[in-house]
This record gives sequence, structure tokens and C-alpha cells, in this order.
Amino acid sequence: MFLASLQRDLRLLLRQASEAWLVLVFFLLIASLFPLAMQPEPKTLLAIGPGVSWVSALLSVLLSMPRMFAADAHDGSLEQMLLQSEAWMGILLGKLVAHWLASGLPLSLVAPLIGLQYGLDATSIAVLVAGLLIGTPILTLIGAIAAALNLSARGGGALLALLMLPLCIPVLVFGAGAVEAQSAGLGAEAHLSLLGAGLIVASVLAPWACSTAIKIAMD
Amino acid sequence: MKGMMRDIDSGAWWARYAAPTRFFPIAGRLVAPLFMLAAMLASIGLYIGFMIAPTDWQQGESYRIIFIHVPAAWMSMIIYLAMAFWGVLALVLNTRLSAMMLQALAPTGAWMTFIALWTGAFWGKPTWGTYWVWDARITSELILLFLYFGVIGLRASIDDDRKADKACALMAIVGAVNVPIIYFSVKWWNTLHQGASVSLTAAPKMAQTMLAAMLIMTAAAWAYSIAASLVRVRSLIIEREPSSAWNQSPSLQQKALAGVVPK
Amino acid sequence: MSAENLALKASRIFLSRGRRRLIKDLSFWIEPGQWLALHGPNGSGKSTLLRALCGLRSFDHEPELSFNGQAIANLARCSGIRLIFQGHAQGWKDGLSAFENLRWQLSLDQYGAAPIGDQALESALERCGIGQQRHLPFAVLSAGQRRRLAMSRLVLSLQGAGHQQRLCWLLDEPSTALDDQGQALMGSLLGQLLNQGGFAIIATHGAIPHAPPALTCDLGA
Repeated sequence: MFLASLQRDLRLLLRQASEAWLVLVFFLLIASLFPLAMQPEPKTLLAIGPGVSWVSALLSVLLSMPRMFAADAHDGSLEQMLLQSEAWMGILLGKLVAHWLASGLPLSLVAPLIGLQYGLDATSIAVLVAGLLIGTPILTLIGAIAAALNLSARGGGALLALLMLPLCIPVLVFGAGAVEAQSAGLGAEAHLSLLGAGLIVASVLAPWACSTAIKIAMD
Repeated sequence: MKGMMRDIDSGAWWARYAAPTRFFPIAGRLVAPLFMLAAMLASIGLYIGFMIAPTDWQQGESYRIIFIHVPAAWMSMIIYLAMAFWGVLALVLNTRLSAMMLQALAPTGAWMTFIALWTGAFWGKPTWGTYWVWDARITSELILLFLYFGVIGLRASIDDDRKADKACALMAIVGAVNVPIIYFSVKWWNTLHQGASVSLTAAPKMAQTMLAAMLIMTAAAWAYSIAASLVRVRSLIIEREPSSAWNQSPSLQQKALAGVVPK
Repeated sequence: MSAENLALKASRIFLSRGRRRLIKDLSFWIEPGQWLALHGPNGSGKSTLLRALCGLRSFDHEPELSFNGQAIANLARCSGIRLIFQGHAQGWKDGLSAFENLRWQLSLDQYGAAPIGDQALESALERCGIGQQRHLPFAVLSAGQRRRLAMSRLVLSLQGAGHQQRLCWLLDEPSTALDDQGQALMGSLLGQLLNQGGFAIIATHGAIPHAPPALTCDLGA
């Protein structure tokens, strides 16, 4: 059911492609705000570039989180999926992967534009993209837990942000740190491998937590 | 009601106290002694810390704030772990009391975190000239405060009690699993930016009296936290299960008759 | 095996919503070939009871549920039952066409069994009177047409394989928005279900015309 679920979610997304585009535009917009709010000296920009890219990516993924489960919960499809207890995990994983394909993946591929805006060199940009490719799935996984918990709550996305962002801080630290390490000539392997380890741990633990949160919300 | 009592009596001895009916009066009897113990220990600890312990040769008198800062920081972490423990029980055993303990602990934990941050700032100012430093421990404390706000905020946004119980239990567990990871990442980040960091872990070398004062203050913080949480749990029990509280306490019955407490 | 053994038996059902107790110590017993009509005013707990029987939400205390003599936690987790649940929100996506929606729902319903071909889907849609609209986006369908899509799911469930399992329909107000023709179809589908030895629990305000006689349970009482 994993593939069927993935296909379904992607098809739904393609038909409402504006949602995916919005995330990308938001990403570029946020990153462009920082230089406008300060003096755009090349040295300053180079120093804050990695951090700004990562914060913008984090906020963009946050923006895309509410749509992950809310629509399905609202129209009753989520409970139909829950009733299929054997297929449920496959379905959930399909949804998670579909979400990343429409948010984290495009962000990572567009990040070089921001890298150029901030004057990062080629290897730094490569490390930025690599870090985002590994790190954004983690953001999707953690965000899914927060989005699922948010289903139980009334109110808007502020609670979702409060639940999700503190948990994403390690990803932020290692992702941005990787680029800085690369620029400082220290090599980014350690950071990237820590991110990779984080991805493995998150892929094992997060779906379980997310599923529990959904069942609590449907109660 | 009959079915419930049957389950409890046949279970383990500790499970009997999992019923709010039995827990309520016990908690009530513990509250006052614990508060008194906390007050006593705090006065002793503060006296030793502020009057008896020697002046630090490096930091002068201003270091004395650690007698509040360090116990508060320790409690903030211990309480979060306790919350996660109750969270596990609440999800696994599905007991209402575990969830109520979790809910009761959160505000105390948040206060402890806040006090740790505040006193940390007052330590920083005379010592390093700045109120806020991006030290690994202080930054982790700040993130811990956000985690507490997350649990408290989640509780406040969910109307259904049982749903809120389970959601907060899960959030507490997820947060607890993340706390070591967050701390590790912040420490890593901090060591890479040596220039910007000043370590608040460079506490003065512990003279015997200083250590004693610190431990006494920590014990005081423990006693206070437990007492405050028990008070909160009791009011949660009154709010959510009036029948348990009602039957056990004559003084409550009087208050209810006077219109103070809901039946 | 006598029909008695295959019955769905339930007792000691307690259900609350928030702090309000809706259902207190309910019991019922349904044999294959029978259906139970849940009556009651709005808010009396009909939908809540259906969801709890599915396992989507919990009862106040563990009820005694058994099927075929074996204790079960809820109907979704019973291997002897093939469950079709249709709640108020039936689970259709606006962004998919009727056909695609049915295809997806069927892949859930038929999980573990042999898949049903497109041909069967098309004829089910025809039978329910929405063959023409099957490739239209779901969002443009009227309420009545959406109900007919729900019925086509029921039609296909009747055809599905799995004779080891009893088919069980848990439906929440299935006749809403249906015209006379649709209601007649609903009644005849229900009759077909019961003839096959399946059973159903249906929350409904009024009677279902043309349906076989039902056991009734009034939650408003």
C-alpha cells in the first residue's frame, strides 16, 4: 500500500500544485528578507548565509506542515486508512515520503540560488544542498509528529510551530554547521554523517510516534 | 464503578494508589509537611550559601546566585524526566492519575527553568558583563523552556480531557527523547564557536560549605516541587473527578456546601 | 454451525463524549442475516457508538464483544469479519475523480484479497447511477451523487472474495440526500447483504424503505 498511498498523495498534490510552489516561493522570499533588513556587506552575508538558508528551509517546511493530515482528517479518509491496521504503516510512510518529495526535495534543489545570493562558493553550496537533502526528511518526520498532535488541538499553526521547532534545532545546528565547517576548511563529513545518523533514527522512531498521535486525535 | 474497584483490588499493591479516590487524601496529608520541609531546607541552604560560605577569590560575592541557579536547573531537568515517566505510564497503562501528575508537574518545571534562566542572566552580568550568553547549558535551558511551553500549550488547546492526557503524554515522551540530542547538538555548536562563548560551567571550585549549601538547596527544591505538584494534582482531581475528592474530605464537603467547590 | 455461534454479541457498553455519559450498559446480539437499526435524536451517540465499535475511539470501560464465540477488541480487528465503515465524513477526496476515489477506497477494502478489476468498478458505478460522472472531479458532484458513490462501494463489497469472513456494514445515516430511486437501491443492497449471511449496524433517523425488517435500538430512550 506504500506505493499506492504515495501515488495518491502525489496525484492530489499535482492537482493542487500551487501548494508546493508556495513553499518554494516562501523559501526564496524569507532568504531574501535578511539582506534587506541589514547592510548587505559580502563578508556579513557570507557569514550568515548558511544559517539563513537553513532557517528559511525550516520555516518553509513548517509552513507546509498543516496540510499533511488536516485535509484527510477533515474529510474522513484518515479514519478509513486507520481501519486497515495491516496496511496502515505503509500508507503513513507513503504520505511522509510524498510530503518530502513536494517540500524538502524542491527546497534542497533550489537552495543553490540562495547560496549564490549570499556569495557562498561552489563546495559550500554543494555541502548546503547535501545537508538539506539529508536534513529535510528529518524535518518532515519531526513535523509529522507535531502535525498529528496538532490535529487534536483547536487553533492555528502557532502551536504546531511551538511543538516542531525546538525539536528541529539539532538538524539546524548540524546542517548549518556543515557548511561553515566546509568554509573553514575543516570538512563537513562529521556533520553530514551525524545528520545521516539522525535520519536513520528519525525514520525508525518518528512514524511510530506520528501514528500514535493520529490515533489519539481520531479518538 | 464496581468494575473499576474490582480491577484495582486484584492488581499490584501500588496500583491501589492509582485510583484518585485513594490518592487524594494521601496527597493532602503530604502537602503541608513537604512545604514546611522545603521552607526549612531553603532557609538553611540560603543561610549557609549567603552568610557562611567563603567569598570566591575569582568572582566575589556575585557567584552566590548559583545556590539558586544550579538547583533550579537540575530540577528543571529532573521534572521533565519525571513528566516523561508519567507520560509513559499514562500511555501504556492508560491511568488517569499518571496523566494528571504530568499535567501538574509541567508548570512547576517551567518555573524552575525560568528561574534558572533568570538567575543565570544575573550571574552573567557582573561576571562577564552581559545578561545573556550563548553558553551550551543556558541555551539548552532555553530550549527546555520551549519544550515545557509546548506541553502546556498542547494541554490548553485540547478540550477533551482524555485526548489531552494522551497527546501531552506523547509530547512529553518525544521531548524527553530529544533532550539529550538537543543538548549534544548545542554543546557541539558551542564548542565550535569558542570565541562567542563563555562557559557558565566554570563554577568556582567547590569548598565544602558551598557544596553543602548547593545540596541543601537542591533538596529544598525537590520538596517544594513535589509539594506544589501535589497541590495541583489535588485540584485537578477535584476538577475532573469530583466524586473521588468529595467523598474523602470533610473540609471539602463543607466548602462545597458553602458554594466554594463544585459538587 | 448454528447461527447463534456466528453472532456478534456485545454487552457492557459504556460510552461518553467529553464528560457526558451517552450510553450506559448497552447490550445487543446480532445474528448473520440480521441488521440493527440505531435510532435516536441528534447527539444521542449513534455515530460515536459506530466509531467505537470500529475501534476508532475507545469505550469508557472494556466492553464484552465477541464474534463467533471469540472475544474481540473491536470489529476492525476481528479476522472473521470484513468491515465496511461509512461515517458522516465518508473519506472521499475532492481532488480526485469519483472513479479514482473508488479505486483508492477499494484498495483499502480489498487489502489482502484479490484486486477487483476496472470493469467491475465501472459496472458498479453504472448500477448506482453515476456511471456518467465517474471521471468528473469529485468536488462537482451533488450530495445525492456522492451518496451513490458510497453505495457503489457497498455494491463492490458484496462481490468481493473472502468467504471465510462475514461481511459487516457499519453505516452512519446512509440514506441522507438520496432520492426515492436511491433509497430503493439502498434497501435492495441491504437485502442482498443479509441474504449473503452478512450483517449490518446502521444509524438512521427514519426507516430505510424497501429494507428487510430490522432489530432496533433506540439510544434516545
